Amino acid sequence: MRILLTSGILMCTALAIHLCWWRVRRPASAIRSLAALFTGVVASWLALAAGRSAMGATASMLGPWSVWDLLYVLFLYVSLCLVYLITYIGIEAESPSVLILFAARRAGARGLERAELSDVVSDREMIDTRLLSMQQAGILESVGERYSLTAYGRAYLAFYLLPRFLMGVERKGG
Amino acid sequence: MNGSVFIGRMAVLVAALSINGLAQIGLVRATGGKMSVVKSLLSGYACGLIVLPAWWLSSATSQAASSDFWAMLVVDVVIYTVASYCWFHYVNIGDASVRIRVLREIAEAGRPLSRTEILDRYSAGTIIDSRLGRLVASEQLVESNGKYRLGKPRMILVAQVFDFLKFAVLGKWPLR
Repeated sequence: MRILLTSGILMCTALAIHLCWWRVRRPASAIRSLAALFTGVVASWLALAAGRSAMGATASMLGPWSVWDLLYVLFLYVSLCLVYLITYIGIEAESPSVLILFAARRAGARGLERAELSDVVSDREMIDTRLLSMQQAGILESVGERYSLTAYGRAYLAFYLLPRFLMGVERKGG
Repeated sequence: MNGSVFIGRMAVLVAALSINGLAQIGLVRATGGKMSVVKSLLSGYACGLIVLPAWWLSSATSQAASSDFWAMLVVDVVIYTVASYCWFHYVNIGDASVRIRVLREIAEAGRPLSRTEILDRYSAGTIIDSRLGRLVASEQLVESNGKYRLGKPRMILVAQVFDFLKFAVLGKWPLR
């Protein structure tokens, strides 16, 4: 139970700092900042736990910990951090399916026509912003006014297409 | 917890996750790609989830001495669920991501593409058609006389959760 509680408290602490930080000023590179914050929180806890163990204190969230319990706390904490990072990408991005569903909800009983969606899901929002962000991330490079994949971009694409290859799915996604 | 218990728990987690992935991939292959990726992911999760309690119950005698027996099982189920969530997004990104589709179009062209050439292959119009088809097929939207209305509430509920998270984290409520 101590493992679960400790990982949970560490994660809640990191999320609380994250929410305060983002309300004051959202960093330019959100994912890197979040990774640094998560690392900082766990490093601070490890330092406190090491100090408390050295003093021979009674068992609590701050220690003393056996190496194996400590590894489990770290394993669970890192897993929770990964989940949040993945979820955060979804929070920042605009999903076309979600935009369509909200448009249908706004239309209500009247119903939503296909033509109305052109204003909701546009080339500028869906394609241009993604081309720009992929360029900034080093996935794409522009040669004149044309786009091509960088070596990193090719590896990135292969990594995400691997499950489709394993599943034998041939239809294009998106 | 000692070293052998730790290694045993890790091995069971790896086994459960492997069963999850293999079942998910196997189900899509067995149905010739007809099973939706989301359904196969949920089925794979359920298959792997069976392994965890099975192992814990089979080793109950040796574990029973531990007062943390159920807490440790809960921790393992949480870790398994969290890892499955990561797998879910990894597979789903390859299937549904606009970015991956754009990259794929450029890669398959075999030469650099201009914005216009990319839009000829994949544009907002293509995205709308494919998403409408998917949402109607999964009954999230109902189409009648060329008009779309909300159907099953599952995905709109997920969308509302993300809408709330946008508000909580980014301080904006853009879709309401």
